[in-house]
Amino acid sequence: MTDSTLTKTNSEAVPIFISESIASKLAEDTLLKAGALQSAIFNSANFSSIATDARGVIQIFNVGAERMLGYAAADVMNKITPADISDPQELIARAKALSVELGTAITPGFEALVFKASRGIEDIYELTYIRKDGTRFPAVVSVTALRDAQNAIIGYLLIGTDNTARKLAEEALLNAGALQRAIFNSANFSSIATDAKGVIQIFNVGAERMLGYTAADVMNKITPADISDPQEVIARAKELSAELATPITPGFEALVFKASRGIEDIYELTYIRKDGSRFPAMVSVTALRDAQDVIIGYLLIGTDNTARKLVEAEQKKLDQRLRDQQFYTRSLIESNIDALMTTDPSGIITDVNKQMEALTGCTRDEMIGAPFKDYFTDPERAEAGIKRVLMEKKVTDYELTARTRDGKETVVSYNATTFYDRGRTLQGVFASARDVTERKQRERDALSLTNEISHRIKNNLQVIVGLISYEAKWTAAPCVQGYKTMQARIGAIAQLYDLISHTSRGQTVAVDAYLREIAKTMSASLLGNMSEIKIEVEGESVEIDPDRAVPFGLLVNELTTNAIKHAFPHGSGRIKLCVERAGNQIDLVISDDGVGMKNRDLAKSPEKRGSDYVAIFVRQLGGAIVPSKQGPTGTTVRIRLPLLLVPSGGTEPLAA
Amino acid sequence: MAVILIVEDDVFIREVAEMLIRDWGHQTLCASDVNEALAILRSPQHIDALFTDIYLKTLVHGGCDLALQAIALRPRLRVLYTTGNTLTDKMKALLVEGTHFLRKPYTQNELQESVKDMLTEK
Repeated sequence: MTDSTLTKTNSEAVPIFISESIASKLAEDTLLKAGALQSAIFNSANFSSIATDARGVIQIFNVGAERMLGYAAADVMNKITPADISDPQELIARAKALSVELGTAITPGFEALVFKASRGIEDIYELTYIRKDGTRFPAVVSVTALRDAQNAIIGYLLIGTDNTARKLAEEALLNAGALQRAIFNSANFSSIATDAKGVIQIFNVGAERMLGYTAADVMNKITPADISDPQEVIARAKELSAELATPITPGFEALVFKASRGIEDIYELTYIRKDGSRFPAMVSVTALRDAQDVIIGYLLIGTDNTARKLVEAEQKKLDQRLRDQQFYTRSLIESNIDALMTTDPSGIITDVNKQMEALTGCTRDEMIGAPFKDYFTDPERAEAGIKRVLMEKKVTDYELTARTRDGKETVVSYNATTFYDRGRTLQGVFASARDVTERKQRERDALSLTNEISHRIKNNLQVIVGLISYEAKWTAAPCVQGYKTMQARIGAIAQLYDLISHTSRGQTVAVDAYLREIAKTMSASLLGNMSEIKIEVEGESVEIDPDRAVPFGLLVNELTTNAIKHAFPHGSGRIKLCVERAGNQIDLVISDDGVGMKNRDLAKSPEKRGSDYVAIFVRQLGGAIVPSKQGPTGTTVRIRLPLLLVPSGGTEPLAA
Repeated sequence: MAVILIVEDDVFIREVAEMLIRDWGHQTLCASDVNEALAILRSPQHIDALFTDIYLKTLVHGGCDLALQAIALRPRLRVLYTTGNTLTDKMKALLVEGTHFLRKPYTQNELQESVKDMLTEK
């Protein structure tokens, strides 16, 4: 395009650029005057300027049209008409409407877009343009016929603006209006409008419902202050006076003062119903102004706040209860005499109580987030403890030594379990540690005392054994054996004393282990390493009470000693010590594979005494000797004893 | 025959032990506590074996300490311990390796076996 031409339009002058052929026919002065505006519009990206020939075929397609419609000028020039980029349905509708309006048949196509303009009628209308990519947008299109000097139509100019933003704004406005109407007509909002002095002018259905007055009761009669809590109005006036540093009257002024100063104002207020009952309302106040911005009244929109208040009160109560509960739980944790702690599954401390602080000399804040193991003398053992809890879910009496920063050590015994959330997801380990320093000290003291007593008893027994040794040294050979037997019995009592403490499991003594110990010590003391006589043990696991363990042991000692002395004249053989459970009783069986009873010389006096001892111990234990069939060789002695956990009724003194 | 140092704070027990051991043909030396024993061990006196009580006067493990020092002084010395108390793991850890132990009260047979074992093995 090398030149420009202006033409007079059907109504207002709409400046345009048209083709060179038309240009020469237009007056130059007009061109000069309007040139700036024209070029501004034509070059503007905000206006689509589309010029066509008389038949509608696009001749000019400016940058604005390109931007809005997504076509390049080359895509459309000399190819299509503006009808081809317009909504076909709208074209049909427009053609129909115009046909009716103008009483002539109009084709749904380009003609429908320009018919009015072609008849010299001003035409601006809304039209939906379709972009190259198929999307649509609303446009306001102004159509002008382009004419030559003879006033013959040589083309049309369609100037369009994208109407999207305006459409959206209109929609929003429409919505807002609907909202206003909805609020004003809603029974859930009280809308009270007053005049500038506060006298109620409008009292909507919501206000009637909430307050119990009819509009007629209040309109032109009272102000909203008259239906508000007077104490609150006074308080509000006082507060506002202080806040805004100006005296405010306790009355309607107090309710609207802020709004009258253009300050947004929403506050809580207690309204009083016609029947005198009260309810909390949330009130929003707006000043109503005329065109000159002079206040002509106020609008007070209120919502009944009762439900919210109730919810708030309930929430407050719940919060308080939760706080009480938390306080209670915490106080339980804190008042525990044990040091309590939780860790996450990796052993990082998540909570501790005061006792734990005392144990470690660190504050709760310092400990939370730190590894549990850091507070013990043996971190590896501490970590292993946590792992064990995670594996076994529970650990009891796990000893660790806690160490404070300044080096103070405390031996503690841990009980720990895993803990879970409601979804049963592992949260970590809960552990309680009890200071066992004192217990440990008591145990140590008890042990030293036991050691001391044991040492003295054994030394005294040793003295007795020594005395016998000394006597035996000067005694004639036949008596020596008697002394030795005596020594053996003393030794047996001493050993039983130790064996009982070795094999006791709390309140009982394990018989099988006890028999094995007796066999071992007897082999050592009576037989020696080189002996070919062997003592074997076969025992069911039976428990006996420690009170009876000594006579039981002496009984075994006596029978075994007899076997050793008499069953094996050739110096080799086997002795078996055995306990069998027989219902509510147990059998102690001492057997040997020696020469048998018949071949023993029962006239010998020490043997007789040994038998006496056996009878005494059996009676003491509340049992009886069960006669056993004796074979040609070997001896079996079976003694039936009541379940030995039953306390002994025997009163016989120990005969040894 | 051997020279055996007997360390026992109870005079009677010590003298009976001496009597028995001498009867078996050995020579004995005796001490009633750690210090006396160490004095003898530090002397040029020939000694083959040490027979010591563990609980010596107020020292719960006095005999153990003594044996350790004795072995340091005389590495080839043989040791036989005795005590009326139960041997705890802690005590066992204090015993000189390859040594013998005899429980109180011991009979002359037990003592004889133990002394024989101590002198023949190692």
